[in-house]
Amino acid sequence: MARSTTTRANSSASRLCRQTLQAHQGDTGGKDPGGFSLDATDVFTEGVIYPCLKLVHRGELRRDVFDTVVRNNRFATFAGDIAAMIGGVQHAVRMLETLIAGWGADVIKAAINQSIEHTERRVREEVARWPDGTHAATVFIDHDTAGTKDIKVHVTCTIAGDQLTVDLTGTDDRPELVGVWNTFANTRSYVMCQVVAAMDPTIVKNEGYFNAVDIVVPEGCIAQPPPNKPAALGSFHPACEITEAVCIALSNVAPERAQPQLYKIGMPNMVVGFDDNGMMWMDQGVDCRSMDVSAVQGLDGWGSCPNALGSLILSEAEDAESRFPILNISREMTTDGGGAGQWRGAPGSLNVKQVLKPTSAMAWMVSADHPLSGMCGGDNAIPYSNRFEVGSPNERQIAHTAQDLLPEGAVIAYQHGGGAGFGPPLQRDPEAVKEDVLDEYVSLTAAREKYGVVLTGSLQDYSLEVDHAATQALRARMSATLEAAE
Amino acid sequence: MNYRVGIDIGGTFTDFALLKDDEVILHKNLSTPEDRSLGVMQGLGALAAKEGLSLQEFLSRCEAIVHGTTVADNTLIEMNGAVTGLVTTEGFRDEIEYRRGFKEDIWDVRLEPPRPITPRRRRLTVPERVLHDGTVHKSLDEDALREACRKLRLQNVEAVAISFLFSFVNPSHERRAREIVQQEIQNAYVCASHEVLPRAPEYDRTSTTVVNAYVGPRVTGYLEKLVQRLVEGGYERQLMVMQASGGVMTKAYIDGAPVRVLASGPAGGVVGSAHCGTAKGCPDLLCVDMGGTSYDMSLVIDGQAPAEAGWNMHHRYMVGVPMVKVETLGAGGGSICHVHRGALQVGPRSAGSDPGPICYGRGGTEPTVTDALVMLGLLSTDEGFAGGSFTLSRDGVAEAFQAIAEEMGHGDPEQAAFDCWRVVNANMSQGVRRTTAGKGIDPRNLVMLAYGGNGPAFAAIQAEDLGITRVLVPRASPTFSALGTLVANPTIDEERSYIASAGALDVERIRTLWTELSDRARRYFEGAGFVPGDVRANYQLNMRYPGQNFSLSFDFAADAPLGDLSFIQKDFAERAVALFNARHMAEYAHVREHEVPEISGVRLAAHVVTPSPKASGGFVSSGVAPVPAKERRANLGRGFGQVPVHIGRDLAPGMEVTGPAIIEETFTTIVVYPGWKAQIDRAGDYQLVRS
Repeated sequence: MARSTTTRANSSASRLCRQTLQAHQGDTGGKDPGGFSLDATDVFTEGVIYPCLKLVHRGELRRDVFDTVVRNNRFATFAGDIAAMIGGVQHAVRMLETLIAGWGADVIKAAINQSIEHTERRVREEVARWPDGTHAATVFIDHDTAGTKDIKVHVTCTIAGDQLTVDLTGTDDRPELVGVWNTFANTRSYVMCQVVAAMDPTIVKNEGYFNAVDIVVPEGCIAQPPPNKPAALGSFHPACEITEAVCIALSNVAPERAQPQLYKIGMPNMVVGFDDNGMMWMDQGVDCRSMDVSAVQGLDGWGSCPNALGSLILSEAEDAESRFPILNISREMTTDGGGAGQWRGAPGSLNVKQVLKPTSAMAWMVSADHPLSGMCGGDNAIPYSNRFEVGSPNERQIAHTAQDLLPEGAVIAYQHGGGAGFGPPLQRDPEAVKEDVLDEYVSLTAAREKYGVVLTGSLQDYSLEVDHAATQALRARMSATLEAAE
Repeated sequence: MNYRVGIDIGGTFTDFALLKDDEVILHKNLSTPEDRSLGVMQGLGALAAKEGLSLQEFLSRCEAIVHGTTVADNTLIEMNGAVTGLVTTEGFRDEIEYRRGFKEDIWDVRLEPPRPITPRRRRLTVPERVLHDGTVHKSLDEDALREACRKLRLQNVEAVAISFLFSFVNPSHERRAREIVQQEIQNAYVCASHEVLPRAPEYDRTSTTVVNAYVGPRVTGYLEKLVQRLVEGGYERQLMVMQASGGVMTKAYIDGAPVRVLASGPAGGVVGSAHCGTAKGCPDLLCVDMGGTSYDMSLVIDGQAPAEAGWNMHHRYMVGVPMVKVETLGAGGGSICHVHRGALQVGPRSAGSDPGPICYGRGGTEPTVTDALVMLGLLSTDEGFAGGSFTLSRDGVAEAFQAIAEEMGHGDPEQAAFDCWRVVNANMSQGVRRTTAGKGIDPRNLVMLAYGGNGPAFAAIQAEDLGITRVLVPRASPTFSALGTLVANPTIDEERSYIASAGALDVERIRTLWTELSDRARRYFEGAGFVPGDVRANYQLNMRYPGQNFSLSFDFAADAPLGDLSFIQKDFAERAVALFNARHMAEYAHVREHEVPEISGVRLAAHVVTPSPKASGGFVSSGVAPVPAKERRANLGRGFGQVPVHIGRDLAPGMEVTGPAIIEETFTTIVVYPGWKAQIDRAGDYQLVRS
């Protein structure tokens, strides 16, 4: 949902800029809590459709309009969320007005334009450094929410002088697909998210980027759907596969920055219940975890999420459990949960929680058949998996989607895919592999089988050492086998 | 005559400010990195000598010695703290690595991770679980804990942080675990999260506890040694230590959570700046402190530099204790100039005090910013640098810049030195822009307050770059952070977690928590020799609307006597809601009148007012131009020429020095760049203004 307010230099002047604020909302008043409907076949299923609506007119809240929006939402705290957004844009507008009063509208306008032009110039300089050529990549989503398999995203990146063109021609356009439609605006954002990652991070982010890069998206494909297609889930997939495909294509020209900026999680396990007063609560599952942090050239994957998500502050057990009848049991990284490579992906975490009251839970599972891709010879990430009612006779793995009632005490366990590797695992520094084993990121077995590293001593008493001669011999044998297979 | 002494130990110099009634006497000597307490005792000896007293007599007449230290910060910068282990709740081994998803730069995929204080092999978990209401869901598995201790012993762990879920509600498991760890790992430094930062959520508390364990042995070891030397020397009172919050407290208090002394040196400077700026009618300040190793920037707005206890990422580690905001760049007099892949760079590596810049003549061979200033003629090589403790030498300086000039392909050493000066200026200006414009504050609306030994040499040229037209340079600027520690009041600022809707408050529970906090504060203030009746207390609440992640703190009762909770009346909840709504309106521009907020914690900020150094203003410029003492060849940004040099002690209030000129003070050099003039006020302080 976006809020915006217009700033004018004075009452007679023309519009100079518009302050906007965009934020996720807990709910949108659609068929299912949270705004994500696994079986939605049109946009009306997902929520109330508001045209551009004025909540505040000349400084006065339009109470009837405001109440209409609030009433079409399941959560009592929604009014506070909107009020916070209004407060935010109004605060920013006051700052802008001070700036304009101090400098004059012409200077502000010139400064904004100068910044946009500077960005475009800097982006083109970066592109001009890359060799001319065309690089294509195809990435598949396991299935849509109806179970149709192998949804295809195809991207072709062409570099010609200082012009980069990202073309999504060839991307799936089967009209019967469900839950994998991404809005055009969101497609552009996800393309740009990865283009930005491939460039000098100090370039100012503004529309200069969009001026410098041509993005071609055929109408009717899942990246630019026909009118009224549901689009909420599309911001997970295919949005992230678009990013991944751009990353694979650009890894040919900027390998040192080839880390996919995405989340391959279908969607987190959303758990919904009612409190003693009958009010609905929802644990959206945005918990601390490790997922999808791939390595880049020279750097192992680290932290919780790829950089682009690094401004999200994830939920903690002590916050969540003070609010919801939930017990967080575990959320540790899984040994060997990261893609092997010369540089290693961060291991994905296994997040386990127990519901303390009967609740409903919703899930969409992908990235099991088609996990996150390794870059430049690195291994893929491990597959995602998700199990409900763990340890009970009803324990089950979620194949596609779930919208289940869980009994009190049910345990759900989400294995995140982790990051993918970069570069061939056999080229990883054996000492780094030893350190990984000591830290239990990598098992002794994987050290030998994936990395070709032979360790002596004991993990139990922290006395591991690399047997360099044996490692060299094992790696030579493994390389020969690989070459023969190729 | 009774004395108060402020001491600030930097990477290069140890600074002293002696307060004697209204008179302030400055001193500085080189830091002694191998044992920093030696440098302190050296300086105290020098101050005693200045007063014509023996050290014993001088110390016995000191009513307060207040100390800001960089020991904890240096430990985090150099990553040479204790070998630290973490014991935490089963299932939560990796919270510290996830950092709640936070990354400092969301655009730079090449951002390096922070170096782990507790690598995964030293993060061990034990079965135990306390729930949000304090009930024990799973008992502490003591055998598993003993096994974890065995593994930590095998890894030669020197310090252990214990952090269990919801320990701030029910600390029994942490207390028992602490006993067992102390039994199992002899001589280890052990700290528990409910003592270091008793609040949610777990990442904030765990990280703060881990940092505490890492720096704790060094800080406490250092302070113990210093106290011992002071006592042996004849000091009879408690050593007061500066905290990141901007308040000071005794060593006994700091020992409970040494993490509180992080950034304590810079905090002293900021507190001093607010005091000085207010006196001179400048409530909005950009404070810049350029010492030997770093350049610290901070803001004082409306005469205040409030400490924040929330999301403090300090040296890339989350530290949840209250901290005055100070941002640091590796740009100081000792920063090393070098060529990297064809580009001239300055810092962040520093020559420190040993060997120090080449011009110190102590064996340094790499050219530094101070060496560049010597090359440019901005610093004197006459006798008497740093108050006469040593003399700068040009030996080897030109040769070092010649080498840089050749690497840069032009062969002119003076040009190389000038380029280094430009690079360090650009670095600092860029840092200031991040601190100001990057946060929506226009630096041109601020007055710059420059201090640290090297601050006044760069202040005006940077001000010009940033569009600032007025710069204050206190006469005490070279030891300003030391002086600031004398401004700071003894303070205890703590909180306890209590989560409940304002509609269903257990007021007796709140009363109990505030009473506990008051009793604790009283013990420490009494231990420091203060009368409890002199302690003023701000009783604060943390509140939020249901669903909000972050709380707002506000005073429920301000400036109240310690322990007097008579302000708790029947209308407690109503008042709390009204005060919270007012705070929320001020912060976020809206309130939710129909939503009942919840309390997330209670706080107590207690302090005693102690005498501060007098600060005064009053510029009475009569425009009298003093006669320069000498002149020398120097480059003030517009090429070399003969520049008049004034000696600070010759200048009197009302005088005005027009740039280009150089003013040599005892411990610093003020450069009056072309287009600027320096005026001296009644207090003997300088201001630099555009001509």
